[in-house]
Amino acid sequence: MMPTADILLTGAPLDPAELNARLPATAGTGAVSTFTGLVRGNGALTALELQHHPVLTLSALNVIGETAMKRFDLLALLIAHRFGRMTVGEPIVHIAAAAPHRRAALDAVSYTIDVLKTRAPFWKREWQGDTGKWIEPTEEDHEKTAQWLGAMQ
Amino acid sequence: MKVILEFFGPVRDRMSDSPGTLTLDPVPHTFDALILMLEDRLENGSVLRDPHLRFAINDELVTADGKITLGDGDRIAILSPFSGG
Repeated sequence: MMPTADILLTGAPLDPAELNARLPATAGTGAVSTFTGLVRGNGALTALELQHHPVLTLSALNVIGETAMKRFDLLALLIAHRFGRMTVGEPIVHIAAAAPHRRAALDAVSYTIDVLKTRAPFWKREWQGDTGKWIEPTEEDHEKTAQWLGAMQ
Repeated sequence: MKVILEFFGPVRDRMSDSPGTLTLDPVPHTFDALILMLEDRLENGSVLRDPHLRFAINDELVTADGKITLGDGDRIAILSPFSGG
């Protein structure tokens, strides 16, 4: 039976080293690739807020994870995503993929973060003191998703 | 028939004057009819014409060209374009 993706959606801080330890060790693993997205310090930014949908966000992450597992023949995949308010330098998302070969592990991580940006229901707001500004997805974000989905048809 | 409206992301700010519940009469049976009705009935309803918005009924995403079935107390979620990661 194919292993399932390990999905974590949490309001608690992410610890990438601790998360990597959740990947099961298998003898067939030849490569592990990881990606961590951080809150980038940007001018007077004081916090980043991530909102999510109580049901649809977890469903979307599960679909993205299962699709990546199949598409890249992964041995393991972890997707951990924060919600709530974060300060500069804190991890927002952490992805780790284990595969027999490097290309699959690297591509799986790229796929997962690119697709997640426009297919998982999260909404991002930057805060400068008491002033909040919503961050909308860019055309590049949509193009990256479309490239992956087009390549998979 | 009364439905519950939920807004997520930036559209929640743009539709902040919208009521939490809305009576739909007649009951729309297609997605397009629902959007037209919401546009007509809600203040700032034209915001809902944004083609990047997504909609869900009772936590199930609905497609723009599909038929819909609504019942009393159903929840309609209007979702701003996603920006995770």
